[in-house]
Amino acid sequence: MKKTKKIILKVLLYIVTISLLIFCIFYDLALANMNFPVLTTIYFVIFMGVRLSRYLLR
Amino acid sequence: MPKKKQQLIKLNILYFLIFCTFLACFPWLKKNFGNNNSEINNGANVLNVVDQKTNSISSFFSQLTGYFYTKKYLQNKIQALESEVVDLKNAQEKFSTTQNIEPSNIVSAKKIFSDFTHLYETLVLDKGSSANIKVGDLVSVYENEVIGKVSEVSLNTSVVALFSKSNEKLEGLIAAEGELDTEDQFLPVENSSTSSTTSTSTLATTTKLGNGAKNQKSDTIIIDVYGYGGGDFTAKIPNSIIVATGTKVYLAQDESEALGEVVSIEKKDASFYQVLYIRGYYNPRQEATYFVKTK
Repeated sequence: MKKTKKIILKVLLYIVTISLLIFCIFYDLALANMNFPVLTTIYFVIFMGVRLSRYLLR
Repeated sequence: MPKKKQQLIKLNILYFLIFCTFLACFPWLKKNFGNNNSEINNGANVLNVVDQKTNSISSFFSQLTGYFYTKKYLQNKIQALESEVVDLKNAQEKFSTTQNIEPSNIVSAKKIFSDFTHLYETLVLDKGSSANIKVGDLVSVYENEVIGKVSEVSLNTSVVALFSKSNEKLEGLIAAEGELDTEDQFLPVENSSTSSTTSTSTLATTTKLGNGAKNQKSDTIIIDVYGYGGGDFTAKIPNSIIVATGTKVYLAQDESEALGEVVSIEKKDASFYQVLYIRGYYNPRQEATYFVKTK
């Protein structure tokens, strides 16, 4: 029971992060009048920051 | 190093590589899937961006955000229109007061052309002898703000020579304070041969000067005003006469008509006179209605 709950939460987290990533990429492509994907870069920096901090704090 | 940690590091490197690939491909992606960098400056462009269906991605996002752009544009437009309404109301009030003075003697006309090659010395109006305009009639903008005289008349047009024509000399009246001496080249109103009255209806101050007498009171004096071009005038008066900026200068031949306002005064220690810079009421850039006072 506990394991399935954990899996569901993980899947939800994946869905949220991936949809956020897609939104950022599409926004940079379609709406932002800039030649550099600013929003995607911000997303990536936060994403990697969270991952690395988890790795380093272990 | 545990296997799990190794996997994590590998994954991180993989993510980083994927991101770098994305960055490298971004210009190409933008070219093929972007919305052609439509700049949103005015309303027409906003609507174009909303309607543009270059590809599914851009059309989806444009529909999503187009509403906000349109709303902002419409709000700005409403503000601009409201301010325009206020301006028009003010202009209408001013116009109606001008119309009420003497409607039978005043002919309103529009400017066809102004001679910009010689510092705006003349202008052509769209009314002529058919509207009872004659040579010598005074032309004004708004109430009692005279700018020139009709110099030539044809059937449907008339040429106005501006008073501010460069080096054009004319006599003006100005309210001044200070020690006045009638022996000066600037005569008080009472001694002037050109002025018909000693006091004007528009200026409250009067001159009570005998020959050679000195006066400390506020007076109306006649000064020689020279056109400077572009609607401006200059005048030289002795240092002893005190004139404040913002003082109106009136036409000597018709005291109810204002020529302009003193905008700056130049005084030099070595010289015995001061130079007045007078801003006339003619604005070459303004599409105003001109009023010709027919006799």
